[in-house]
Amino acid sequence: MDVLSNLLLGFQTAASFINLFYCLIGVALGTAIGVLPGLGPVATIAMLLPITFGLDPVSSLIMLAGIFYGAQYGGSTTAILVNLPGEASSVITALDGHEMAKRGQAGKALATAALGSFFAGTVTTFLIALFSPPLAEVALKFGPAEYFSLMVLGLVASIVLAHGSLLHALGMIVFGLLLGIIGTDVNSGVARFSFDVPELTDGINFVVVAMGVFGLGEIIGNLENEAERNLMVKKVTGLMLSKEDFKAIAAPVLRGTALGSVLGILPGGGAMLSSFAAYALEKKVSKNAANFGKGAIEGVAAPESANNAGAQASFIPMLTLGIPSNPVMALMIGAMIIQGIQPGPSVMTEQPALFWGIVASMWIGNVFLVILNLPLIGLWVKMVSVPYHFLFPAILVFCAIGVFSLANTTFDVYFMAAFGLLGYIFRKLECEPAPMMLGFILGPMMEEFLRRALLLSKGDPSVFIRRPLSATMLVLAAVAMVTVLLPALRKKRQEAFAEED
Amino acid sequence: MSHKAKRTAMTVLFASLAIASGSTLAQADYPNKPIRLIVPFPAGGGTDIFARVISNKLSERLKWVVIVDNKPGAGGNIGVDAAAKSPADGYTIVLGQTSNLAINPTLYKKLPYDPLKDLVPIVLVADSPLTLVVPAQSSYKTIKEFVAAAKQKPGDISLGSPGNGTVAHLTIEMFQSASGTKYQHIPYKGAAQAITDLMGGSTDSYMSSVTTAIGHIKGGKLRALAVTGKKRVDSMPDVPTIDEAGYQGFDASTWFGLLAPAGTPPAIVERINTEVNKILVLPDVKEKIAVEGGGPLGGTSQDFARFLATELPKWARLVKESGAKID
Repeated sequence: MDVLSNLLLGFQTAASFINLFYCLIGVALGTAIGVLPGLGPVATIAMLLPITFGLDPVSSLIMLAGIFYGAQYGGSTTAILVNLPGEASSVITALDGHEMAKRGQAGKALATAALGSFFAGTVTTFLIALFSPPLAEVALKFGPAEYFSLMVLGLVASIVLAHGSLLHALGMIVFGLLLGIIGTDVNSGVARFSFDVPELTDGINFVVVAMGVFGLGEIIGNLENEAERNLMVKKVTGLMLSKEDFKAIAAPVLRGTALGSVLGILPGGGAMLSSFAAYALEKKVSKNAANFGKGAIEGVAAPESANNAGAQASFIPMLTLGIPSNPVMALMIGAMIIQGIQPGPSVMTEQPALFWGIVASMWIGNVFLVILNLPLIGLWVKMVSVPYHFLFPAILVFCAIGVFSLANTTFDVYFMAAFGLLGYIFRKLECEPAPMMLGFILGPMMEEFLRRALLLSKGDPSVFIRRPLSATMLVLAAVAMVTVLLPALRKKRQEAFAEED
Repeated sequence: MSHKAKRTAMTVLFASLAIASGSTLAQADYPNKPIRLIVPFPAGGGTDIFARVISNKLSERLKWVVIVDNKPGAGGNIGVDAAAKSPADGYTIVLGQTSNLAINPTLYKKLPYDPLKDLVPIVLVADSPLTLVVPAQSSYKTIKEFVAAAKQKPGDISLGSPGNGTVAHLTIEMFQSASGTKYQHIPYKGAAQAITDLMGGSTDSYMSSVTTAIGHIKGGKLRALAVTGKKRVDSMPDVPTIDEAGYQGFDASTWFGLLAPAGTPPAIVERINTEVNKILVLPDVKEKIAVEGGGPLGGTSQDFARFLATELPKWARLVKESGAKID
């Protein structure tokens, strides 16, 4: 069969000594920068780009790809251990993962993340091998109207993320939406709320907000009650997963993988939604829903597999259409151009060894990652037991370096500090930052797609219901809204009655 | 150890001497420390690739240490401003381009720098034209058909650009006023989503950089109706220029040039100019620039200054014309 011979060619290419070497370097580097808070794959790949000038195109792309998905693995480590999500996708992992770590189950959470990611990575690799071209065509069916409706669905689902007060969650979503407004308006070119500060005209970087609100906020909060925290992490139990754990995560991993690979194909930010969506779905269907947000293992398994599936599926539009779905893919395209390869549909036919080599290397890289990460878990867990007054200055320094590397400017570092203070205030007010982050990410995209859809329809709003894909998602969003609000309202009334008693 | 310490001491001594005696001494052994090349765009993009090619060659041939410093943001204004406000000692240079040197001075109400007063041109590096593309299945086969269709139903055909106030957006304005047509401008945030919508059939056409489009054109997904420069491009010799299609004198390209803070010693400016000119004729450099869809330019620093003086009013007029349509 054609696919088999193609895959064979891929594995032949990827399994050459030199390519295995660069794959290993890539994933090891990716894991390292993923673990270091703030330092993301974008900055790393950007820094390494000049080095790839001299390499063989296949080797250099295999290494860069390795950095990307390696960072996804590593990113969950800091999210779980110290509540520091360096990527949009690990915001969700931190929700339950860090709760697990607080209860001494950091090892379990890390193992779940690694195994879930490995499973998702394997499935997605074969998905890419088998169905890349037709899947890419599906991605093209998504116009501005479809994206808008998808974002609406995502935003509604984000309410599910909250496990505290619904009002607080709504408030935080709105706050996130408002933060997202800052920056240049795409349609008119007008700078909004930038107060003539040039650094604000492109909006605020996600990493700056996430590092500040989560990382710094957490640090300030921990310093307040250091004694309590030290007690907490001392009781580390069970590094490995038990049989029951495996049973518990099997279904969430499957669902997460499915959801992640579907959303990851969409170049307009689908991969970013995958972990949010997987978590929201799991919280709705899981028997263990009550424990979500309090350290449920399912709440780590589903979003972690979804995010890895999404990350790898985002290679599909890049490899088959030459369309980058995120800044890392854009850099990979830059790397291809430097190597004299024109990204686009012709890569697959003109450079089969390159295309299939990268696909095969992704699976090999995933194997490397599991081998690399499972033994490291013990080490990571020990890291948490380092006295906090040694740990937090190191975290702070890495956060500052990471944020500085985004645009080589100190402005972002100061801004991160301001968001840290805000994060601390949120903690005190019991407002969870995760819904805010989702509002912050989705808000500007929603606006952009809404206005573009209306521009293209010449102002006719019926476009959202006339297009079947878009209409379906809006209906789903409405259903989700009802199912989210109904139990919450019922609970509120019960509480009110209970208080009267 | 002691050798290193001695060298450090020498450097300090030298630096202080240089400050004391103006810049004359500094030029004698230029460069004696790393040169910072500011790129006002993110790593991996077009401007960055030009910068990397040049910095690599400078280190390879002359053992100069050139550090590429990506300072993206605000359409390149942040990076260019950082250069404009750096010491004029020849150790900070910037790779500017059409947007932040010729467009933004008119587009932004409060630009923190004046490209003519705060910077001194060193050398024009390269230019790269844009290309007007439609999906392969589109009914428009030539630029004439495309114009005729727009004349029949003005404002109906959608024409995307990678953003408001970009070279592509203003080239669309230029094309509309040259051909007497009106398209529906759809601004995007960069090329990725714009190309997706174009291939998916949401939009009718797109004004793209050659680099972005060429893979899709060769892969049979997009069709190029025209290129916007004075000459055809080597990578697509069959695609006519807009000028050839009957709009004489039409010429719009993204160009890239090296500049230094105003007050940089002329001897240093000339030194860099000479070296970059030597680099631009190397076959492998030509090839790399061609991959980016462009052609190397070179020339004297005065050539670049004259070029800037003609480009500024040209784009300023376009910004003003489009300004009425913005908002």
